[in-house]
Amino acid sequence: MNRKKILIVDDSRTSLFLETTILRTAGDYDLISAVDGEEAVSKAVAQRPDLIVMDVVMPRKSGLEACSELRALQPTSAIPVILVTTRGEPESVERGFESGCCDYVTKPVDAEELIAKVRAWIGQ
Amino acid sequence: MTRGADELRAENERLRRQLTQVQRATSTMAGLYVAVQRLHGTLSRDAVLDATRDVLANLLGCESAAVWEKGANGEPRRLAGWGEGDQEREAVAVRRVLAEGRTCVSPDPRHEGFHAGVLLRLEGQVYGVLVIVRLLPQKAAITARDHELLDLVAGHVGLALYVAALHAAAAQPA
Repeated sequence: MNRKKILIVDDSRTSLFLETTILRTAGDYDLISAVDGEEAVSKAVAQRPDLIVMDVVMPRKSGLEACSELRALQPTSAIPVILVTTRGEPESVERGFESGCCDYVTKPVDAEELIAKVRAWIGQ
Repeated sequence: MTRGADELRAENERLRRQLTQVQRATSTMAGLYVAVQRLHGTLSRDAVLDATRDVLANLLGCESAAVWEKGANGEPRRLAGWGEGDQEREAVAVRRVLAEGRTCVSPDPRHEGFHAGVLLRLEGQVYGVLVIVRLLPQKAAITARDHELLDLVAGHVGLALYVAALHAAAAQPA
């Protein structure tokens, strides 16, 4: 059976490390990473992950911009994106869904919540 | 048949609760592991302070915080701060934590101007205080689990700052 591939995108080394550690212990996933929206789009096009977990506030290209771009590109338009937001207010969440994300989690990332959402989208 | 189904349901519920506990513990361990990796991955004081900001924001949902150290004369001195902060109120919190000699969690953060003041200790000696001024809006309060992680992280912040100071002193020409 093919391992599911997850692209984790965050400019914070702490957050990137934490999300990678959580998902590594949660299942047999193939984990790849990027540190900004621009690198995320390029890696998503090249490596076609099954799911993207992406921070919103990042340099060069934000998570919202990257998400919109991924939706517009044919090879990545169907890849589910879970946004990781610093702000959990309704307007921030709404902007996330407008950009094309399928779900979101708020910082600080809760392991149970992240694992549950990842499994809901791509299984174990 | 019904009894068998009931037993299976009970067993399923027991396993679900156990899994939740394991996931929580994993989350705390992962957080601490990440904090230790970040804080001890450098010998530069500025990089330690930057890692501290990143760790507090991403592991504890801290929007504003400050690190104070105890100066040679015993007076606290602000080393760094992030987000909105009122230095006078921070100083009050720092003096209170130093006077009480233990971590203080404010019962009324809005009124007192801080959520928690955590002692930075090294081998029993007080090195400074980490002040958690404000949390992200979606994080209502510091939980018992955060408290535990905060104490452990503060220990490593103190150690990393001490090592960075030693390194800077050793790097100076004689």
